[in-house]
Amino acid sequence: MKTKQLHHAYYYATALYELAKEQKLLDQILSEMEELAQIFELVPQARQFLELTFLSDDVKQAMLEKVFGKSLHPILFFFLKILVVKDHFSLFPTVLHLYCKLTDESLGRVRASVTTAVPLKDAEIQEIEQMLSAYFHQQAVVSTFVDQKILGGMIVHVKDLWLDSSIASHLKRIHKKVSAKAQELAHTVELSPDYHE
Amino acid sequence: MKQFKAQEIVALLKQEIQSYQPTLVMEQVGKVIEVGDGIAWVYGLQNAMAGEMLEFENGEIAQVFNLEENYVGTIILGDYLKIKEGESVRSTGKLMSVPVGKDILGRVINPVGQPKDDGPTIVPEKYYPLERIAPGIADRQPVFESLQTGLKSIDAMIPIGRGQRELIIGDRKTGKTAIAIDTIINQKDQDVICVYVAIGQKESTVAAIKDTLQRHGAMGYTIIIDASSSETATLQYIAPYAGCAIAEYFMYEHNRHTLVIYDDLSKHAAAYRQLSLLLRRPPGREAYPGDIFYLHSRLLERSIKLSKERGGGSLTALPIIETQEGEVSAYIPTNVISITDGQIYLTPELFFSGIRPAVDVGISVSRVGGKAQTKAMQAVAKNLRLELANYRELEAFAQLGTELDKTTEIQLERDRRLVEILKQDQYHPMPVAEQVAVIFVGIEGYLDKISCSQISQFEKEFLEYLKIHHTEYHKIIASTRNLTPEAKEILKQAIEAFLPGFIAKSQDKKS
Repeated sequence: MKTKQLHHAYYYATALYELAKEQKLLDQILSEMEELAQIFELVPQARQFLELTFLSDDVKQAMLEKVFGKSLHPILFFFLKILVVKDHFSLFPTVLHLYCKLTDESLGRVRASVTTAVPLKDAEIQEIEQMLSAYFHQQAVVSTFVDQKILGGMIVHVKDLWLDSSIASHLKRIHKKVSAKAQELAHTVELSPDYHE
Repeated sequence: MKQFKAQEIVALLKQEIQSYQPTLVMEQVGKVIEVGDGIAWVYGLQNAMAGEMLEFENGEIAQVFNLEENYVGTIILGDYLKIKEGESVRSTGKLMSVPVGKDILGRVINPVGQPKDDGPTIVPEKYYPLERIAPGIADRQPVFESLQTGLKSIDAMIPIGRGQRELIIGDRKTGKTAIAIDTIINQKDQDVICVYVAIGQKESTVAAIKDTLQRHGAMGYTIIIDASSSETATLQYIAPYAGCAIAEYFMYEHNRHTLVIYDDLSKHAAAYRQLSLLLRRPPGREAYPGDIFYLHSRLLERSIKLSKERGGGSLTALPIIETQEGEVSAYIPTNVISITDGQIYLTPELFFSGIRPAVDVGISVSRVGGKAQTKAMQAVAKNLRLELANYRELEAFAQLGTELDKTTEIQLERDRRLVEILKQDQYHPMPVAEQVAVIFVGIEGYLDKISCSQISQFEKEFLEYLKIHHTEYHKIIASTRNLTPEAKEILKQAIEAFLPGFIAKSQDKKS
């Protein structure tokens, strides 16, 4: 993503958000866009096809009509058509991200991704959601990820904030602390002759 | 150095591990969306501050430069080729700082405090912010102590005071750096810490400067900050601020007098222009951004003579500006001229006609240094500037082939000798007492009987003679800083005793 694309995506996302807000369809449009993103992830050829700039708009629009014409809300469907006509379909993931951000801000929601070394139980996820909601004074929506590399603990990512209490990062910090001390000693200390004994 | 046994070291390290308190780390993290040419655009970091230090995944450092609605524009200090799009960036909550400490004296470092010589790692005592609001009126006092450059033409006619900002301006190869280096060499035993900031210069030039300072025993009280032309524009941009911060450390923490040389601010402005254009800031005159004046004014405003209550230290700045074909009315030269307390203007014409240092005393000024000039120098040099201005007029007149009256001819000959005595070899700064003695004999007309070509030989021998036979003269000047009637009498006696012998000797040589 380039800054120029981000600018364009921001304008598209704002337009879609304002339209959806007027018609009280914020969440519906968001869930449909998320489903679309999942489809494009599963069938990347579909996205690639819509991104092709040398194909005529009619062909791409016909494909959109055939596949999504009946399943998507008309607002989103026409929005996709505009992206195709303007050769900006590659902006779709960024538009989704920005639309999601705008919608969440508007509905007083905060999205958090929680990474743990082992899968979390539902009760644990609920507890985390409650804690984060209380901390941010907004309704927290948690999505979980598993990464064994963090060894233990958890990493929570909310907006720009990164709350890291993983074992891996604690070990990293201990390593940094001990290395700094060792370096400090190397400057102030002369090893006694029995050092190598 | 303290001696430790292996077990003691292990125990110390164990103690470090035991004392570790696991805390929840909360950081602001953004993502690189675009990177290249020493800059990076970072998405997120909504609470980032202008000038804040950011850290990339691989440990490289950047500074926040532009704050936009959805992203921030940053300038990268290290190797930007190691940074990839999508990489996360951590905000540190700190402003850009430079490590400072006494260890840094005598070292060649880069603008972020890493050694560039083959010396040991520098253990910083503290970190000083690169940017700092210049102290206000209450913390200052007027400039009143002199900072001797050791150059007759400057100390006599364009005196510099401690805490002053005096611009050295001139075309390429006119001896701008030479003046700065001579000034550093002259600070030996003068209780002045010198910081030389090389911006956009060749590494070989910086190496030669270091070597020169070392040969003259000046590295002990000097720090060289090197942001050479091979370094990124970011490092060149922060270099003068780093130099200033290091000098401030010695001034604020140790109440010392400091001298910072910014060599040169034209290249600094060019580096800033590069960064600004890359970050899409709107270009103005000569494609420089709109805040180019503030770039230099905020740096030079940090030069100060601190009040007694603040310790009385000082920070003198000698910024250097390179002009193109003598064009002083270009954008950057006019900016810096208007910021500084005077300028030393060097011209290639004087340089190539053998007048070195090639100071054009007609248009060089020092706006505050006069008060700081020693009384001894004031006594002999008060008429020097007028004499030389008069000389230039007369010489132009004489070149027309006009026949001059006897008095004018005598005056012209005397002034020619005055110009001659202001010449000085590089790396030979002169103590005040010697400068006063030489100018005194010139002004008083004792040199009228000596030909211009012999002046330098005369100066050398006379000063040697004065040092051996009239030690009390130096003592009087050192203690009173004034040319007392007694000192004047000694000088007269010395010259009257020395001159006939010198003339006779030179006539013998001729015959």
